[in-house]
Amino acid sequence: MARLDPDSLAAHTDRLYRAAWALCGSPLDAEDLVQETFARVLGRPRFLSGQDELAYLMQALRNTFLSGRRAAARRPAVVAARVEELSLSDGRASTQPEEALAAGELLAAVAQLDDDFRFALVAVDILGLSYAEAARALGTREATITTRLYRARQRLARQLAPPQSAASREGTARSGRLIDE
Amino acid sequence: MILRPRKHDRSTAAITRLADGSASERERAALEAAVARSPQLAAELAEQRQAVTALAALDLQAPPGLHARIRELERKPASRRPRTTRRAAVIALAVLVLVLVSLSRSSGHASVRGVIAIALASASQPPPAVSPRDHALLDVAIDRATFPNWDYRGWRTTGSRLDTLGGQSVETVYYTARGWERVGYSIVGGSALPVKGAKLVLARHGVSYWVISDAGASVLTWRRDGHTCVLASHRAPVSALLALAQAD
Repeated sequence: MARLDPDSLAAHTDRLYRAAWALCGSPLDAEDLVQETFARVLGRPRFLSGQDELAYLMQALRNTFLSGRRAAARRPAVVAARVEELSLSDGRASTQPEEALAAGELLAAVAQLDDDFRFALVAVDILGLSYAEAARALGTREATITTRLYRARQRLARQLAPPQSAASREGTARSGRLIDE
Repeated sequence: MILRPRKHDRSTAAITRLADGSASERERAALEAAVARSPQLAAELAEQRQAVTALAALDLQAPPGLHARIRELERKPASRRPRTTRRAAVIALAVLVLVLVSLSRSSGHASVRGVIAIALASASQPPPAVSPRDHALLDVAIDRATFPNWDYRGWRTTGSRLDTLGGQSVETVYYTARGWERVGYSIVGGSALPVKGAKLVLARHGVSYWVISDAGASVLTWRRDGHTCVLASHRAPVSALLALAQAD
């Protein structure tokens, strides 16, 4: 069983950052997620059980992302009556400057996919893992990865397409890919 | 008549693999022939390729500050990360130039708006260590104004940065709660800055807390020992900022 070489991990920072952005939908959150992932991985010696380094990092990134989200869901909301009473307007959802960039829009679209589809897409199309590596990192079968990848790409392409062409494609798909029952 | 999508089948798998070049020779030849005969398969393949191509063209690089923090993590265990000195200073200088260039267009002197932009920006340096003298504080200060260690409240430090705004130093520490709610805490060195367009939300123990409307962010400002303090976040609500500020 090979030991993970801590000195070689930094070479994956850029790819992991793109993957994290696609998971979180925000560049700032992506930075924090990547840093937290590295902090966890480097916190103690790690061993690769036949895995590629990048596949191991994908697994760690996904686990860190999910545990952070679970923790956020468990944490009770902080309430300050005096502030609530003022009915402060919160325009957070309306302004995300990074989305003005094409890459930001693309990754934000990926972040809106369902978890299973998103993880498959991130593993294969962003990190560049093989189907087999992605299946192992995500704890599923290769055939499942293939199906999820197909659906993820389909949804992403339709999300990014102009409304008219998306509608037209939907019509084509309905007429050609649906079956009578 | 009930219509439902066709289930996963071999052609779907083959199209998926053909789109990213991972199909076997045999699959490729067979599928290319099928695609040539079927406009529907051709449309599916085009859709798959569109997504693959868009994602393959992504050329985003991680910010220099993140690279620096990862290198720092590699050097030392996470629990004992010291602040960088010279390298951090170089990075801070680069950030300073960017900030000054962007801010000098609108204002020649420091403003709370400028501080908010910094509090919402990326970290450029590793997080400061916990103060060896007092674990409730971090080992960083500006004009003797210290930063709190909110670890016990579930907010971990993730980075920091030092900027100069209109001739005044601004030290910022970034905190993250599990779940990626991120907060930037900036303290301005020198004299306090005037607060404009803010709403008083709380006055307690002689300290007044003001909320500033900033598109896309929650922002709270107050004065501590004559220094302007700003807490800002894209995700955490103002109520959370207020709770943190009062714990400061």
